[in-house]
Amino acid sequence: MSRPSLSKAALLIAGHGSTVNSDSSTPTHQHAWTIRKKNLFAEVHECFWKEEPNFRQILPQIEAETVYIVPNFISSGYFTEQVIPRELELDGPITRRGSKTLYYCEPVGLHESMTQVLLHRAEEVVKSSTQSLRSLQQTCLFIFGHGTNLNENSTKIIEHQVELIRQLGIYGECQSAYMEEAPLVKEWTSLTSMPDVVAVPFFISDGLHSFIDIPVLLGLTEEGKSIPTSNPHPIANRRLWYANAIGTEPLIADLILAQVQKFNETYRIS
Amino acid sequence: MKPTEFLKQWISQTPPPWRIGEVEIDSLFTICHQADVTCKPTLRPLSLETLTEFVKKTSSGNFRSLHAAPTLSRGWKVSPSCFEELVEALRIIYPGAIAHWSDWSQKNIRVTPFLETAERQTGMYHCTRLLNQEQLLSLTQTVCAPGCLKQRLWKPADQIPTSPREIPLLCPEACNFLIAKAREVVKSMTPKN
Repeated sequence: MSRPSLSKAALLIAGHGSTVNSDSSTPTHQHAWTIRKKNLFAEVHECFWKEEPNFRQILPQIEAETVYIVPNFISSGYFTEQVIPRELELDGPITRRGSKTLYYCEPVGLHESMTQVLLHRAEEVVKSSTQSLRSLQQTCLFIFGHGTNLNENSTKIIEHQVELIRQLGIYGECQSAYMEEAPLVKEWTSLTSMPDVVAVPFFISDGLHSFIDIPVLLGLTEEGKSIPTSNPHPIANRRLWYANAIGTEPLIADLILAQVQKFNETYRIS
Repeated sequence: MKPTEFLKQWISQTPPPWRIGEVEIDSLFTICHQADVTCKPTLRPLSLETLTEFVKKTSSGNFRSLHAAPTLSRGWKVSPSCFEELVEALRIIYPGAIAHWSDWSQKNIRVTPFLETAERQTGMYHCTRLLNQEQLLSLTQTVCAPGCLKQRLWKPADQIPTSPREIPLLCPEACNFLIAKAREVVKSMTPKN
């Protein structure tokens, strides 16, 4: 990424945040610090729907005239299509307001390189454990999501990633499973016959879902108890490696920058 | 004038120490809790990156989702090496505060009435537009007043205290924490089927 085009601009990473879980915003802050240290932008800011700095507070404190806004969201949907544009008063991909130009990039989860980030996270969770896979061809890679019958978009992005990973043929199987719609996470042992299973939760942070709900559905732990820390987990004659949420992967910072670059290419901004 | 230029000018014209919220800033730009100014050498030094996570917790480890809540932990200090790092530190401790103060001082701040904020809400917060004036007043007294150090600019507005060495924490628009509380009030009044 060339420096001159960004060195006078600001980067704004927009996350969800939480009023109850202090860890929810941590990955967004970490990615912001990773990028800040690269000195690519004049300013790097983060803002949140549920925390401070809030979506409504942030623009007055950004002084650069060009602002790239990257939603740190795993997919497009209600927040990226309605809440962020409404709260930041965006007109579309490009908003001109006074002396400021706001460039609204796509959410990080939609970038093509997300496939490589998922594969990297799956590889790392095994590498950092005490055991090795029998072979990749005897392994099922699961991508877990929330899923809801109210919005089909919530699963589309995961199905897309699963298809891309299948086409690469690296793992014996690659499948999706969801907390609230079929195929269900809690039925994972009947969804695959592979002896080794690697699971990556497709969430932006290690919150309630990836840290508590899914481990309970997998049988890693019981309600109210913490997850055993060491991978792999022996369950139902399988070995299960359970990774942290994909949004906590340090490579996500590269995806944020890649979305800026993609925006510049798409809209021919030099 | 941009917020950082405004702060720089104010600092050059105002003798230290400077205060904002619960912190004090000395002439070397060292920032610490106002209750810790007499024991600065013994305080734990924090980097700006560490400060980001540190200010999210109270001394007992509870989550501070509101940065202007009067619950900032003690026992730390941050020593910015330059003016730009001072600005960064203040953005972390009190997000938006310098910009709001600068805009307010220059009579350029945009204040959003509660009803406008409520009417903008969609989804689960759509109902907050039903909050009446009496309920709103009650919320500002029970939620804002004890839980946040910011002074409201939207009605019912606070009197903004002016102190020569203090940067006020200003609230130009109801925050999402208050909107969530407003939803609770409205929901509690709605008959359940």
